[in-house]
Order: sequence, then structure tokens, then C-alpha cells
Amino acid sequence: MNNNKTRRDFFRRALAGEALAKIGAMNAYAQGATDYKALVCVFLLGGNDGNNVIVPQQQAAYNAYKAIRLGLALPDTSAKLLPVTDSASGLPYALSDGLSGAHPLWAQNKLAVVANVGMLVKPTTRAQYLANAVPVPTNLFSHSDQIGQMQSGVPSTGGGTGWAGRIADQAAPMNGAASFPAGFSIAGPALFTTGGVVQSASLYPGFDLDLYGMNVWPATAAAARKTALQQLLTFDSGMALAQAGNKVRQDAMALNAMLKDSSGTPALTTVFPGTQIGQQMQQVANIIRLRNATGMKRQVFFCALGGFDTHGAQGWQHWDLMKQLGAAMGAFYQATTEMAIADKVTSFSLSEFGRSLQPSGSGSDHGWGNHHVVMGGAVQGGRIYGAFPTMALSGPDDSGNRGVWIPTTSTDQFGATLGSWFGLTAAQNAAVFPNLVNFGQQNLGFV
Amino acid sequence: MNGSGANENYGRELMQLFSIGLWELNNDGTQKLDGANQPIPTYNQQMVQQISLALTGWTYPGANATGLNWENFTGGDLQPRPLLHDMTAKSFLGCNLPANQTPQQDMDMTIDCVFNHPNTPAFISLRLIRGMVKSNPSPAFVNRIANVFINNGANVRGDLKAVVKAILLDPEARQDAAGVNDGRLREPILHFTTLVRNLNGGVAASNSFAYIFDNMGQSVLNPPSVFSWLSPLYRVPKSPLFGPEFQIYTATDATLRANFFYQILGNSAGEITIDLNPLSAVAGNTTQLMDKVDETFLHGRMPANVRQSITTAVNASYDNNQKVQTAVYLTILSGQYAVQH
Repeated sequence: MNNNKTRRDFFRRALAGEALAKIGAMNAYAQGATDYKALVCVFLLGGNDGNNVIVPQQQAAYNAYKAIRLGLALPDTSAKLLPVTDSASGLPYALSDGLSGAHPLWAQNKLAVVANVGMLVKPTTRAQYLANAVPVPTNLFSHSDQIGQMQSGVPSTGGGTGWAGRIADQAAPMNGAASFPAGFSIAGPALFTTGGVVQSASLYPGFDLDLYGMNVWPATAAAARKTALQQLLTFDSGMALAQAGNKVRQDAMALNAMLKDSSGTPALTTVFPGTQIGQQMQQVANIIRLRNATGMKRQVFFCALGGFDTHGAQGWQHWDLMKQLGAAMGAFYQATTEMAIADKVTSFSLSEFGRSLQPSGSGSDHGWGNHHVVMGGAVQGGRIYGAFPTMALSGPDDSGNRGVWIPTTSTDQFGATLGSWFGLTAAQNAAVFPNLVNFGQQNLGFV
Repeated sequence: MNGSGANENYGRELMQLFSIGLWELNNDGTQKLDGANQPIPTYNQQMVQQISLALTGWTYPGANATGLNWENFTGGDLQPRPLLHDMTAKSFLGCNLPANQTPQQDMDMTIDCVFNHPNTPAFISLRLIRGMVKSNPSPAFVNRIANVFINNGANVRGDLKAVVKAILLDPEARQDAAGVNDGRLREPILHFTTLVRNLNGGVAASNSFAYIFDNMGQSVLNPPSVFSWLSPLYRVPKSPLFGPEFQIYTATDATLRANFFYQILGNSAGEITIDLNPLSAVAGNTTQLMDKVDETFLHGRMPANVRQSITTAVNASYDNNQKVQTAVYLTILSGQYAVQH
């Protein structure tokens, strides 16, 4: 009896679940998703020194950190340390107080760190790396190559698309008939959001797609121009590509009107910093604000903050960059709460590579694995994901003898976790990340 | 050297991007299919490793005459370094390179191999047609051009001059009335040069427009990667049609182009000369002005409804100068002008 009931329940649940899943998939393709989700990348150009983003505070590890980092060790004359606890291990860590704008989110479990992430072909140990026993990404430690690889998700110079663009490609059916760009770069044309199917637009802070030619005197002439343009864009000339070109311009005029007119979608009251990254993230928030008007359900965004190749001026400059990043991210999170979609927007940092733990003069050298922050209402925050490297030169995580970490979490795993949250299936993630198959854990669970 | 460790970038790019592509092609550019109706890959990873080994043993020109030199893209050809060349026999794409060849011998045989591959005529022809005439050529058009690639009439393979001539003189490139799938979207630099040429203009040799093209997605002479600014395989969003240039024609790009063009028309862009006099001379007569605009930009093929809309706006303009600006501005923002046909 009991067995029968169990078996009956099992079949009932299985059938219902399968049917629902199928209907859900069909709906997703026919009508698009019902909820909105966005991925927002902040790319830290120049190679962010993740060793000074989060610092171990357990005494032995901190002593080792200080002994190796020497003059670069925090706290220094600029940066103080803000304590956090890794709720997974219970161990104490600290964030650079440049991140004070985002630090409160750690205690709210909305901010996490993923430790030692980087490009890999397959899992790689120190012994394997030193023996040349496994393939590794090409041109490691090269700024331009690694900027490309971290954005393409391909551990060679190959790849004309970015992994966020390919995630948007896979998610395209969820956008139904909506035709606004699924990818936006707010920092100039970017590989990261370039897809093979979807378009990636760039939209600069403060540029609302105004057409200069419509700004003429008298107003009647301006109105006549606008009317004529709107008309001629609708005429079918019998050429499909001309129609498609007209459609792009129609979309531009419609988006311009939406960006200018906040009557249907009130302007945000959240105050953003006047920094470049602050203005970029405000522009992202402004586009997300229009989601109901545009009908878009899945969008990816790319912002960039430069200056992390600090060379000799690391102390103050790194703290100042962290300050800009933390303040912008803090304001952005607040804007998502203002829009009541904090749990629908996940933001994260990327950078071409980390830095050597051992200083090089008054700076640090090009590294490999790096720590990245992840922020959002859906983030399972307040903890560190992945494996924090052992603070030792020539230690188990060192690729040589300078504290250049061999990544213990691949960019593929990091991206696929975000892809899963975005709604991608395992097969879709595998299509986005060509080397994901080489890694056992394909969802790190941070969101 | 460790045989599996040769850098595979160039070997892969040579095949994927510059000669044969990823899939076996018929001579008309369509994909060959296997018994299960699936496309057939042209090469596998083992071939990538083999072709990469054939291409080992080269360095940049520079101070070191026998060892490696650092990146140098302007100092001349790459130089062979036999000691850094893999000496084993290689086999790929049906070609066999014997052991113990010099870097130059392996290089020559590699280039000959991809040059003579059955994919190459259709692959190159399709890309040239997309770049010069139309995004969606008929298979028959591709086939005619690929045949010229195979044999220029004098038993020469790969005569690109003959290929380009055949493309531009093909009946499908010279139709007076554009068909529904004809044309190609002008990319930023060609859209710009077309406009300036149409207005008998010129551009200062040293100008400061690079950043404008960067913003429009086409950093001239400086593509972001070997994959260039756009993929020749990109399709118009939500359409089965190919439209490579649409990959960098988003709402933002369309607006930036319109604004750059408007600055050019108003002479506020600087560093560009244009001649609006032939248009200004007839600006007092809207019919004559529209005839002249149609002839200048659209070869006299402006659709009647487009002409009617623009005429209304011209008549609402304040003076003759503004009439010219209105007529030209609206015409060059139309899809008929954005798409070369």
C-alpha cells in the first residue's frame, strides 16, 4: 500500500513535472519569458589586484600575506580593512575599505566573492602546469589577449563573440517578439556582449539617441522633418534589407522617445556618483527601467572601469578605483531595489587577470587567477565561493614562485552559474562555454 | 619541442577564416550534407595540430638573427628558424608533408594545400560577393564566380582580378530593379565615403574621425580581432536573411551615423569638403530639387511614397538652405540609401 502510494505519487509528479517543463519551454519560445533578468558586468581594465580586494584575516594566512606583499599589504596609508566573515568556512576576511559603498551588502547576503577565477582549458594543478602536462590558455599574462579571452570565454585568441552575447543568443526566445537590443555595452563596442544571433548595442552615458537633425528652427520645420522620417521608414520598398535598415532606425527613434519621456516610467531617484563608472551604471539602470516599455525579458550589460594597470602608484590609485567601483555598485544595487527588481539583476566584476602576490617594485606583476565580486538580490552572498589560494610563494596555488595563482575556478564555471540563473539549460551553457565540459561542478551556486 | 604544444591560433584561423571555412561546401556555396543530412566539418582538432606543426619555426624580424624576436609588425616578413621547426611528417586536409622539410617548404605546401582545397573557390567567392554586391547571392551566382576562381579562362586558378571583375559584371550584380533579397547594408566607412563622393567631396588626409568610427563599431584599419568587426555569417535579427553589416547597425549605430552625416551636411564636422551648390541652385523649385536629390543619392529610383513624404517636409522648411538640408538629410537616412543595391 505504502509502496503503491509512493510509486503512484512518483509517476504523478514525474509526469506532471515533465509536462509542465515542456509547456514552460514551449511558452518560453512562443511568448517569451514572463519575468525580467539582467546580467551586468563591470570589467576592470588593466588587471585588478584581487589580492587587495579581499584579504584573509585568519592570523597565519594574514601573516603570510603581509610577509609576501610587503609594501603592498593592506592596510596602507590609503586603504583600511573592512571585516567580513565567510559564512561557509566561518573564517574572517576583510574587504578593502575602498569598497565601503558595497560592503554593507555582504552582511545582507547580497554580496559574494568568487575566489581565484580565471581562464583554464581544463582543471590544472601546479605539478601539471610546471610539467606542461595539460593545455593552458594561450598568451597568458598578456593584457590584450586576456581581455579578449575573459570576454570571449575561449582560451585562445579565437572567437568573434563574447560569452554574455552567446548567453543572450541562447536566451533570445525568452525575449519573444521584442526587438530591442539584448546586449548593451555602455563602454563602447565590446566583445563581451557581442552575440552570433542577437545584436549588441552600445549606449553612452548621457547619450539618449537624440537626432541632431531634428533640432532646427522653426519648430514647424522640425516637426515636418520628424513626421516625414517616421513615415518613410514605414514604407515597404520591396527590398528586405532596406526594410530591416528602416526597422533599426524606427527602433532608435522609439528608444529615444522612451529615454526622453519618463511619464510612463518614472525617472529613478537614486543618486549615482558622478564618476565614469557611476554614470555607466546609471545608464544601465535607465535601460532596465524601460523593460516594460521595450518588452525585453533578458538583457546583458557591459560596463568598464580602466586604470588597474597601476604600475608604481598602486596604493592610493587602487584604493581610489575600489572607491569608484564600490560607490557605483552600491548606488546601482539601490536603484534595483527602487525598481523592486533587486533579485532580477545580478552584477559582477571581471578583469583580464589578477596580480602577483609578491610585489614588483612598488606595484605587482601580471597574474592569472583573480577574485571577483558578485552582487544582487538573488546572490547567495556573505560568503566566498571557490577555493581561496594558499598565501605562499611556490605554494600549491602558485604557477611559479611569485604568487601568480593558477585558477581553481574557471571562467566557464563562473559564467555558466550566471547562465543557469539566467534560465539556460545545461546543454545551452555547454554551447556557450566550449570548455565547460572539462569541469565537474558546472554551477557554483552563488546565485 | 612537445609535438602537441604548437600554438594553434594561426593554423586554425588560416582554415576557418581565410581559406576553407568550417563546413564542406558545394561549388555554389551551399553546405554539403552527409547521409544523415548533417553538414560535414572540413577539419578536426587533429588536423589543427598537424597544420600548426607545419607552421612552426617562424619569428619576427629583429635584432636576433638566429633566435626569437619580439612582436614587430612593420619590419618586414617573418623569418624562418629551422631549429624551432617541427621536423616530423604532417598530414591534414588530404595533404601529406614529408618529414625533415624546412619551415619554408612546409609553409609553401601548407598554403598550396588550402589553396587547392575544393572549398576555397566557393568560400572566397561568397565572401567577396557579400563584401561588394549583395548579402544574399543566389547559389548560381556563387557557382559562376567560383568557376572563375577555379579557372580564369587561361587555366589559372585563383586569379582574383578575374574573380572581382566577374563579380561586378555578373547579371545578378547589374539588375536595374532591385529584387526583394538584393543589396547589402553599407558599413560605417563605406556609408560615409559614399555620402562624401555623392556630394563631390573630399576628406582631409589627416582627420580626427577615428573615434567616430570606433563608436559606430568599425575602428577603421584596427579591427578588434582577427574576426574583424562583423561576421560574414551574421543574419538580420529575426530573419533568415544574411546581413553581416547589421551586426554593427544597432539603434545606437544608426543614430550616430545620422548625427555624423548631419554634421557633415552642416559643415560642422570640419575636415570634410562637400559641394551642395548643384542642389542649392534648384532649391527654389521643390520638384527640381527632389529630382536632383533622387539622381544624386538613389540613381533616380526613389520610391514615390518616400518622395511624397520628403517633399512635404521640404515645403515646410524655412528657406532654400534649409530645404536642401531637409531633402538630403531625410534621403540619406532612408533604408534605400543605407542599403547599397
